[in-house]
This record gives sequence, C-alpha cells and structure tokens, in this order.
Amino acid sequence: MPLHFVLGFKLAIALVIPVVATLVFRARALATARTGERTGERTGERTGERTGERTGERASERAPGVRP
Amino acid sequence: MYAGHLGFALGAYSFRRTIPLWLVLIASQLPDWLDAGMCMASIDRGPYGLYTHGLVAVTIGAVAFGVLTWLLARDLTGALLVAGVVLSHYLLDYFTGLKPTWSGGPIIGLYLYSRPVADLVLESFTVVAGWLLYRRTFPASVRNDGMVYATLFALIALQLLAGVVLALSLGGHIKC
Repeated sequence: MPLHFVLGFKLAIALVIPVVATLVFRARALATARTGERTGERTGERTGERTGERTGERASERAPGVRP
Repeated sequence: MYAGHLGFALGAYSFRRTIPLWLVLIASQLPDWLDAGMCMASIDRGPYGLYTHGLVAVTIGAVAFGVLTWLLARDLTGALLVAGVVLSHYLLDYFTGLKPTWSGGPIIGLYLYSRPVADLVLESFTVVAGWLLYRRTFPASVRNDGMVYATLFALIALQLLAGVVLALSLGGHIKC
C-alpha cells in the first residue's frame, strides 16, 4: 500500500477528523443553546405582557373608574 | 494513543475556556502532527521518532505552544495549561506505546498497543473523563443535547475504527 495513502488515512482518522468533528459539534451545541435562550426570552416577554394585561384588567374591575 | 489525547485536551480546556479550543486540541496531538508532517516531507524523525516524540522534542513543543498561546490570548495560566497539554502527550503515549527519551537514552513505555482491549479501555476512560469535564463548559440547557454526546461517541467510534482498521487491514500500528 502506498505510503502516502496509509499516512493520509492515519492523518484523517487520528488527527483531522476528531478535531474538526469536535469543533463542529461544539459550534452546533452552542448555536442550539443560543436559539433556546432567544426562544425563552420571547416566551418570557409574551407571558409577562399577558400577565400585565390580566393584572391591569383585574385592577380596573376593582376600581371601575380606572381603565387598564 | 489516538483519541485519548483529545479527551485529555477537552478536559484541560474545561479549566480555561478563554483559550481557543482548536489550539488545545492541536496541542494535545502536536508530536503526532510533527511526526506526520516530517514523514510526508521525508524528513528523518530519528530512532523511534526521537525528533518528534523524545523528551527534548516534546518539551520544545510545549514551550513553543505555550508562547503561541500567550501571544494569541495574553493569558499566562492558559499558556501554561496548553504547554502542559503538549507535555501530556508524552505521558499518555508512555502507556500505549514505546517512546524514546533522549539521544542514546532508553526506550520506555508499557506498549498497550500490543493489547488492543486494554488500549481501548484506557483510551475510552481518558476520553470519557475529559468529556465529562468538557460537558460542564456548555450551558445547562444543552448539556444533554445530542451534539454534546455526539462528541463523546464520535471520539470513541474513531478510536475503535483507528484501532481495528489499522491493526487488521494495515498490518499493525503504523506511525508513518
């Protein structure tokens, strides 16, 4: 078997592929985390808005002269 | 040792996240990169790879990568950690192979390559231990994500592939 084929095979398996795979997996996992954070922020904002609206409505019911 | 070096690098990185991960990974394999590069360039690597895997060569590599890390990150602790990762290559290879010490010095090592199962167990243990530390560097929300586990499984799978294919198809442990 040609030396450079053997060396290329070894280089790919033992050196290049593990390094590249590790970096790709890390990048994708961190991207997933960032997407989750943004989704959580948006969900939290919407929930906060609805909670605020309901709180305002209840306050206006208790004090009919005051609109939420 | 193959994947075990990367497992060690992942574990080391967990203690200093300010330094680039790619630099730590390359540092852990530095003697092997030099070995492969010199082989491709048809440069003499010395008996038993003395010029890439000897104590002096590994120490020079550790100093060089320590300086490189300091230049890139201006982080002395990080630079020392990366230098330590380069030195770890010699220690880990001691368990799996036969390594030169210095010119005219003894060849040392436990040579676990001759016992593939024991070699796989040691490599896998090193990868798992390093991965467990590395996993802590991710936000809690993704620590159980498939991508985080894929790193672990990919490294062990590559170790298996390298060990089996190189041992069965290529006639043993081929360095060059």
